[in-house]
Amino acid sequence: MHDAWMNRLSEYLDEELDREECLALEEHLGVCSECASILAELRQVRARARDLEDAPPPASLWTRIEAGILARRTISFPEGASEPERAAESRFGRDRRFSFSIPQLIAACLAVALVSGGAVFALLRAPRPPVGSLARAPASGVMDRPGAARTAPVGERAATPLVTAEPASSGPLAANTLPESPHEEAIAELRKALARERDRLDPATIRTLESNLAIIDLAIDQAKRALAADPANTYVKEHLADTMRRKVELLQRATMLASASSAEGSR
Amino acid sequence: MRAALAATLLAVITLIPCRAAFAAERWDHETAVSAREQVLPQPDTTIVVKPGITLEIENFGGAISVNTWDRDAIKIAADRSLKDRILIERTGSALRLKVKSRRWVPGSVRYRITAPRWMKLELSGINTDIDVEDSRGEVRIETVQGDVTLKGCAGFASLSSIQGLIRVQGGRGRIEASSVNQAVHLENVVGPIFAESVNGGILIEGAQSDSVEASTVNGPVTYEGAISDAGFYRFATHNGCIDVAMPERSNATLSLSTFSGGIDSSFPVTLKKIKSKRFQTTLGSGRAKLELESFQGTIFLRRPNETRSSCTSEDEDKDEEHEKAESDEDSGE
Repeated sequence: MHDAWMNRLSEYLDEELDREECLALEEHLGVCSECASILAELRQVRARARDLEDAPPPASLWTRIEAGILARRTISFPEGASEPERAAESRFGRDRRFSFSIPQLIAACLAVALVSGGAVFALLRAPRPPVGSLARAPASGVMDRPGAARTAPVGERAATPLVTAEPASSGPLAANTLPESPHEEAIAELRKALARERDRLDPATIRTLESNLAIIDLAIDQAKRALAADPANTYVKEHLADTMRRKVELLQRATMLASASSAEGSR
Repeated sequence: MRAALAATLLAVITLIPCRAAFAAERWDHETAVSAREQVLPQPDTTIVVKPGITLEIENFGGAISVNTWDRDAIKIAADRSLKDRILIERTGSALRLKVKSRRWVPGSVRYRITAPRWMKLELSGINTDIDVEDSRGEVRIETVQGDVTLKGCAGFASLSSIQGLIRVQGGRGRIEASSVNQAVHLENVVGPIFAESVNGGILIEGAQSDSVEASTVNGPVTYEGAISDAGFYRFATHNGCIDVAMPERSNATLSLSTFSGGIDSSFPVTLKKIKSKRFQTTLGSGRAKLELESFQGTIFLRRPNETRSSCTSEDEDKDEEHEKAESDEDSGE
């Protein structure tokens, strides 16, 4: 029961609980100092977050995103278009038959050859894999101390694709979803957005981003395990939230980069 | 006849990609100019600009190097391929440089710009190294695969790279530096600092700042600089150590947190346990606030003249690798 209320403190703060649940939780808060303490911390975090100033995005960013959106917008029918015109327009490309002369066919083949050549060309001229040591063992031997929560060094984990779904929390870890729930939603949305634009990114950049997302995922995993072992540890809670925020920011950055590349490509 | 035509077409389709692939092997990544292509030094172009104008450069590959002078004019020089053209667009508030390429790959240019000292700079690139020296205006730099270097600038600077080292040497003003897969090095900066990385260390030396936040996920964070009495300093990492050099007579309250790491001070401190794995110690009047957090690394405290803790070795190794890779690329040109 205690854990159940602890997991609903965020909803309580967001005024998403119904009246009866509110009263029950407030009664619980009167007898559970731990939940009361977490609630107070959540209020502090919210107050601090409210005081933060939004950093304005670069002026050129929206222009690029807008260009990308406009380039791929759905073309609406003009107001005065008649029904047959609409029907004819909607059939275009679906039922229409094409025929080509020999010179046209040769030109088409040459175009195909050029495109395939260009693709090979672009593939081969892609930059080398990222310099750096994503597969390296991390610094110092502190992680190998007895009691350390880690299961593998950061960076040794295989990179996960940018588009894969987040692994669902399970077992005892599922109980500790309090500080990360809003982040999980943002991450899922960003992954979807990024999946749509992924092909616009350079393969080397995708590799770098995936490696770094894997590093953050491992850090999140370690923090979750630590929190499962020590649920009252406020440092670990804050650290987990901070690491989740970092993942959201990296995904946002990747999405903006892909959108910008997309807009560049459409110009 | 039809069979012959089909065979010819098949040959063309097969040979053109092979030819393109052969050409691609001769492509130089750094300058994006093929070995057989002639690099054309762009004749210097000097344009008079009114105060308040922003310089915007978008580049694909190559480099952007900006120096400054006291004139209200901008000098543009660039090394480019014969197949690329540089477009200069002027709007009411900006002067924009772009590359128009006649190939099916984006153009690559090495810009050498001399700009008015006051000029606001917005520089971006993909495979582009970017460096700016002696600017007094706002500087915003974004690159994907490239290093960013800022020397002796004054004013707000926002610097970011996905796969590149961020280096700031000297300067005054707020610095926001972010790399994803490399380190961030800030030397002798005066002003607020915000630095972050994911897979790289953060090294801040000789800073004079009353607001410093530096964090990474995988790498050490090192700070050697003044601790202002009214200052706030936060250093955090998940996997790496925190190494802070500070005079033991500082007036600071230190909050130290770790999950499975340790705390190691070269001068005597009395640690008071606040909560599990969270400690506090006060030096002098305790006015400045320092938050030091490492999930699974050691937090080192030392005097400024003492040898840096060994935790920086990985970061230095990584830098060496980075420099070696760069020199390999240079020698391969």
